[in-house]
Amino acid sequence: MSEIGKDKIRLMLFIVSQSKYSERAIREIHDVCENNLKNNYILQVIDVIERPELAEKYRIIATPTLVRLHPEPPRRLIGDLSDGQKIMEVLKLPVSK
Amino acid sequence: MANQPIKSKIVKLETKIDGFDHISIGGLPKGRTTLLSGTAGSAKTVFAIQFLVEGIRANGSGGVFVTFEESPPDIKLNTEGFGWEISEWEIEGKFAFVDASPQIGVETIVSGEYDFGALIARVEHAVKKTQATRVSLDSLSAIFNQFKDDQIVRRELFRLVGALKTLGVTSIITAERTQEYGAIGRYGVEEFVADNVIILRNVLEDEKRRRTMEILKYRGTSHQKGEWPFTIMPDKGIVVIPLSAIELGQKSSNIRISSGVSELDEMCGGGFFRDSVILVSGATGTGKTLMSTHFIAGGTAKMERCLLFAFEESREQLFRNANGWGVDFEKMENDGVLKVEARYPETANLEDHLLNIQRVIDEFKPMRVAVDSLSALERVSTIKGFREFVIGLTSFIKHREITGFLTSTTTSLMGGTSITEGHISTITDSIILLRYVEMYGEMQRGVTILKMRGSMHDKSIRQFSIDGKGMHVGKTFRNVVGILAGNPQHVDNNEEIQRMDGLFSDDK
Repeated sequence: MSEIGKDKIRLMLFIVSQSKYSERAIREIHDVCENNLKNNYILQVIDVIERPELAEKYRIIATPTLVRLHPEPPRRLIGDLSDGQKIMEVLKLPVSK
Repeated sequence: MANQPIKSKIVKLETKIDGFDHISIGGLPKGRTTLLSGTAGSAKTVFAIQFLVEGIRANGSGGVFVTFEESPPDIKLNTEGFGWEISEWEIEGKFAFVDASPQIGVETIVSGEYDFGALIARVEHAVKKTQATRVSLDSLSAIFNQFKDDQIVRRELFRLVGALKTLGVTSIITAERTQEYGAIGRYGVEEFVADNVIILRNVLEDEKRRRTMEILKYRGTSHQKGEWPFTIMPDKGIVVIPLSAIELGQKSSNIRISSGVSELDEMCGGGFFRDSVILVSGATGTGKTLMSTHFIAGGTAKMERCLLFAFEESREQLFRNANGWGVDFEKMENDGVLKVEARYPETANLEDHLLNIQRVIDEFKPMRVAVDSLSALERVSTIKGFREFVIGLTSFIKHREITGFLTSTTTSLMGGTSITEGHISTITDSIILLRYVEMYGEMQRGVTILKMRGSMHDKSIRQFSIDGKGMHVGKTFRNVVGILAGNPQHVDNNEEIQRMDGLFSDDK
């Protein structure tokens, strides 16, 4: 990872692209991140059908699953992520202002 | 007992798990999911892994193990003793884990709707990667524990099973149940997930553990009914003991062999039949071990290989006894015509004893097998378990077309029957009774052939004595009645009454 990205919040979102939950999840997480974290985050969206080996590596069972890789300790949120406030709470993300 | 196979399109996949393919009439339904349900410690995980292992060993077909409970390193460690080279097969690309066990140290919150899209994608990926034809999932209960919303889990499990069907793999899903007899699973959905249900039990009966396997349901195809005992062998894994499922298709031989005592051969109408099972019953000290010794000496004299399983006396005792009757066991063993296996009944459970006996018979390939005594093994078993053991042993001996010589100790000195006899008298071909007879203040021994299937035989009760050369059969007891009933009485010159009494006591 580059020096610039070092302290950024790193998130991974595992989805199945055709699923109805996934579209909503992508939209939600995108909005939440843009509104609260500004440029201070890296979000990677992974379609498990295309990248099953990544799902294996991170031992993902359910979709959608949001994984916070950085900062430690790791946290996960499983479900449709329909409540932006909840995402922030659960992942204990600092609101950048 | 075997059901006539129903004609169906369902093909079965031979699991190669010892004995299982027999009770399932060919294995697991191919391309389908079978539910394996059992209480904690009933060997579900062992079965689930062994299913994959035997596939790799038999024809190199790949296997995928989906674990919701134990981590892959733990599983490998726990099954190392069976000699399964899981790590090597992983490297060779024949075995793959899909690790869905709970992640320690990762805080996970579940909120709202979700599906098992990632899990299904991982299973599909692993199946393609290993070209698997067999998949095991362990266990349903653990996934219900990880995800609290039962409704979603149920729906997603159906999807998962559907995906397995599409992949064309034969699969096993394990499920935990809380009672040995009762609901199939905890969540009430388990049996609807799969078309086929197998139950593993580990029942405590008379302070003894007994493992059994039952195929409860095979939709659209046939299987053997009832519970089948199984055991877990340290170097092999699960071995199912098909017992009475062994077909009664043995050929019947007319060849006679010597009992080792010429007078006894005469009483039997020319000796025992080659492929028959003979039971000798008598109180302690009546001469059962002596007769087994004669039986073996009779075989080795003709250079026939003989096998003796001793459960009452040590090797040293047996060898000394035999020497006392002029039989040299040590020389016979050195000549390779005899093998003596002495064990205490308590060293193993009955299923393991049976498997051991079968293994030794198949290795040594004897013409004659003696078991002295069968009744000693009764100590380590339940009545039901013992009966199954005897059926399993006798049918195995008959299948190998060898002669079996079993002894049984009666509890009462003067006569009567033992539990052993009651269980096995109908299974054995011949029954010889040894009895003490009190005559004029002296203990004498009597021998009679109670039953000899397929042959005429002497029906009298003959006196016999034992000396440094073994057993000597003498004259018929005269003027004594009630020997078999254990109540010998002298009568004077009334042979008719004696004969009548003799007829009725034959029923014992």
